[in-house]
Amino acid sequence: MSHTFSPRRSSLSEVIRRTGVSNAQWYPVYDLHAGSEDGKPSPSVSLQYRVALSQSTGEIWNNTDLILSTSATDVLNAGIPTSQRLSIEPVPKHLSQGQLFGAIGSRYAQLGGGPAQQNQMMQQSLFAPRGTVSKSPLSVTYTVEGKTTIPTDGQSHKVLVANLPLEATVTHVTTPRKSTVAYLQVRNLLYCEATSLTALNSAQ
Amino acid sequence: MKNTSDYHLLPGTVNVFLDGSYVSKTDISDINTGDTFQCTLGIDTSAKVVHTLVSSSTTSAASSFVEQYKTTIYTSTTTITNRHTGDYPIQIVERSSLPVASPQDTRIKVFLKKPEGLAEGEEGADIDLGRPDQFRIKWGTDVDETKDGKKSGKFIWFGSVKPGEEVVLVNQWEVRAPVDVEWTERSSVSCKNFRLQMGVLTSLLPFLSSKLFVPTLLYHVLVEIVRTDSSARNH
Repeated sequence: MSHTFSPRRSSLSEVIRRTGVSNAQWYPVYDLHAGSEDGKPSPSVSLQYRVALSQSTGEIWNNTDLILSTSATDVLNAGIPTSQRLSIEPVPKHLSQGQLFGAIGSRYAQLGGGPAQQNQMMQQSLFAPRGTVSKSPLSVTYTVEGKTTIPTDGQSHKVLVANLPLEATVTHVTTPRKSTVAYLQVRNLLYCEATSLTALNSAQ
Repeated sequence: MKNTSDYHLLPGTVNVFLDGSYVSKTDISDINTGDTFQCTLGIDTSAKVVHTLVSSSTTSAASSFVEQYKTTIYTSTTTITNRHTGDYPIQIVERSSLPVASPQDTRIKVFLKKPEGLAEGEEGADIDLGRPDQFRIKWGTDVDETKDGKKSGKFIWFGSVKPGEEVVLVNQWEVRAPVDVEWTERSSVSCKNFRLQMGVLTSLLPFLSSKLFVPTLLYHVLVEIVRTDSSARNH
């Protein structure tokens, strides 16, 4: 028996058609484990990649092969979008020149130049995003090695997908005008190609 | 475990544990192979940080020919002590801010006094001050590659403190303005929505202490000198 399903915290009814699994969902959760020796944090850090998985299909998944997929079923079901009509409209005067936002306006004026540009920038910041980034939806698949047992109780069960070793540097950081403490920060956690994954598989 | 993908890490919450004890929580966005990310491991109580900020003001002599100025010198002193024993030098970054003069009133001027050599430094370049403890400075932040460190007044001190030793980092700046121009230091976050609110709240700002803005820890903080009571005093 094999199950493939997609991460959604909400209902997964769309998935029925593609995979045969409804009322099942998962989302990633990570546990980062750092250790210390003689009070000194070690640069070796491990990231446990788990998924919180729940199913209420009415069927106990007993010793089952799991394939976790992020395929965007909602994108497919929505069909191919049509292009839209776009227009440029004037903005009501009281919004573009309001005294309420005078402080911001003068800031932009300093940065950007005359009143025309000031108004334009205010409109951007008030009514439209300053920039958007769009990219194709991610589609990845994780195969959980071994057999997994998940009861059909609708509760989250954590399944360990991988234990990833990471190399890090540990730095102290302080911002004394805000807080006179030294924070320990693991940084440059370089996420390497997962060649030495530790195979672990358990439902908790 | 067979890796059937590029092993892209999906966005999610990371629970951070140090020696098995939960210390903090952070969120990660999409992380590709080869990407880096950062987490906070908590507070090191054996790294002691003491910060003082003192100011003193002088007013130039009144004269019929020269405008009378008031000058306030601020001295920010941070002492970092490594109270660890054994072989544990700590690498530490101090995130510092110098106030920048508000473009709203060019009569208020801010002069950087210390660290000497910072003003001439290039954006993002390590500046070696020739200190015996080898602490260095750099415009910008340690968080990301910014190009507006100078513009926003943000810079970092960084270096290593040996066990049992301490370093003293001094920043000093001078605010100079005609005596009839009132000003105050205000902190703001470089977050558009927040600034919007700050704009609306301008009249309240003198009453809001910077401590109220604790959430600014989450953002980059810049400190700014702004003039208060702008319309009533002049002309």
